[in-house]
Amino acid sequence: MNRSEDTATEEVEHANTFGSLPLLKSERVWGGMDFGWVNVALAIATWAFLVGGSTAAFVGFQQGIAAMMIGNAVGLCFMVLASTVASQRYGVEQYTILRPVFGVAGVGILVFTVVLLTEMGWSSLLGIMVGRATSQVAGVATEAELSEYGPVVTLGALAAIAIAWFILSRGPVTIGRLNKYIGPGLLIITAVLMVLLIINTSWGQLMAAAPLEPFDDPQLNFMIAVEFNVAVGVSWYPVMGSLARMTNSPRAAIWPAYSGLLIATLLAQIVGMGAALTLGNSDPTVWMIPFGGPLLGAFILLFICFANITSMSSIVYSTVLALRQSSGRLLAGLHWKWLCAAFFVLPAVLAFFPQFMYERFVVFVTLSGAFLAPMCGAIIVDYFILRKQRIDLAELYAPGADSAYHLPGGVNWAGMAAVAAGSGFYLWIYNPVTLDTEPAFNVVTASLPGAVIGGLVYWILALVLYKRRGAAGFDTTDPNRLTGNHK
Amino acid sequence: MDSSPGKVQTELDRRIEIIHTDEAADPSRRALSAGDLTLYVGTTVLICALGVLVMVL
Repeated sequence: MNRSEDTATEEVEHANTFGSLPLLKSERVWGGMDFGWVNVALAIATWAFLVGGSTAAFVGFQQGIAAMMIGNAVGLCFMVLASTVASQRYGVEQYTILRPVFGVAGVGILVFTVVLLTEMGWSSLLGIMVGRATSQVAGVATEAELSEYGPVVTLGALAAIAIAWFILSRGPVTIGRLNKYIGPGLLIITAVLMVLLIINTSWGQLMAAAPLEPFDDPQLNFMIAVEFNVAVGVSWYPVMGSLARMTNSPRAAIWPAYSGLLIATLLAQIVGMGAALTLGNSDPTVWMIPFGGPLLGAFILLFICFANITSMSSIVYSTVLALRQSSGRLLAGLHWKWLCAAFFVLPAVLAFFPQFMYERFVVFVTLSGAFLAPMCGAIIVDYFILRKQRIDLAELYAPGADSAYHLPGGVNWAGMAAVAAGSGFYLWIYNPVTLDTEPAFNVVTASLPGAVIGGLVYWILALVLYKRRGAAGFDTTDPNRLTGNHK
Repeated sequence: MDSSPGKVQTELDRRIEIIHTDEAADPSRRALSAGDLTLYVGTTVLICALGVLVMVL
């Protein structure tokens, strides 16, 4: 093979590794169990313990378990349908397959705003958690009184970001290798913490423990806890499709995504909530050492630090992939590792303000849910109802105006209006910043109706603006074939 | 292909052709059936009902 052939082969391999090509059957190597472990590894990072602890701010143990079950089940249900199904069927990276719903430029707008900010927020939060854990372990080792949000936290967060960048710059294979060990390890640790919870407390103590910072209205407390957990379920959207395209059947995609995330999340959240209720602090980096003892607690914290770093690598991998795919030629020439480095700039800046991120954790999660939920609604209506689960691959990848999915300006206005209407409704019925709610919030919460409104608006506008004119690819898909030939 | 013409475009065309022809009827490319979707949504409803039960009991 000569040099130019080598370069061409490298180009193809690079394009395939970084999501530019649809995967063939032989490349979709994950069965249900494989994908299940990937989801377990993602779900049981420190964030799950923190979500459990944050839920305890509003409700007690029994109501908290109910809120977590209902919230996660609902949020994951429509998130998994929106993110995994089409990507699995066609083996296509999830933001490429969104082009029919939002248009090429529309996907870019959403990726560079909603998705980018959501994932930057999660990354900085994970980094800060590592910093907090480092500070706790250092405090125990040196018997020094370290500040809750002091320089050790910032240094630990910056070190975590640097390590995550190093792992990420080596590509997806390294991330996959690490997750093989992290997933089972985290499951064992959660089981150990569950045992410690049972040993350290009694059932009566757990059931009697009062919420940490509730409002006066018990129903409002419960619905805020449900909404928070729905938003947590939905917040998996940005990464799931690109992972699901690796699976070898539709069932190997949706059930492990749903059950893996649900079960692992619930287990870790229940432990986090129980510890928070009995020890009075929602932060796992604070309660882990008193809970597990100095040696075991410190060991678990260090393992979870490592798990946080690999979780960070996984979510940033999917997001940077999305940025590349959505930017057209803009970022195509930029080397992968520098693109990853650019992503980490904002999380690194936020590492200098750890208190800001930590104290706004619930606000950040629910606010991202306000935009992701209507996106999911529009995607579900487009794929399942209007396109009847058929996408024309050749048209999907055709450039610019050559594609049947192309729309003037590259924007599907039905999709963008759906996100605007759904998120507008969400922020009207429940303002995550001020925590003001409309009376209806106590019955329907915010994410689910936000998704339904997003779906309905998309349905109506797509019919009126595009489908009856045969635009946006609505006239190209032959119902008798999986894909079509590019005309 | 968006940004990488030539060899990558050829590979993309080859893959689309394989997916369109050889793999079109493969179970891995199957759409979700109404039964699959009903079971999936029904499971969610069941878990929510269990959640309500946990709260009530």
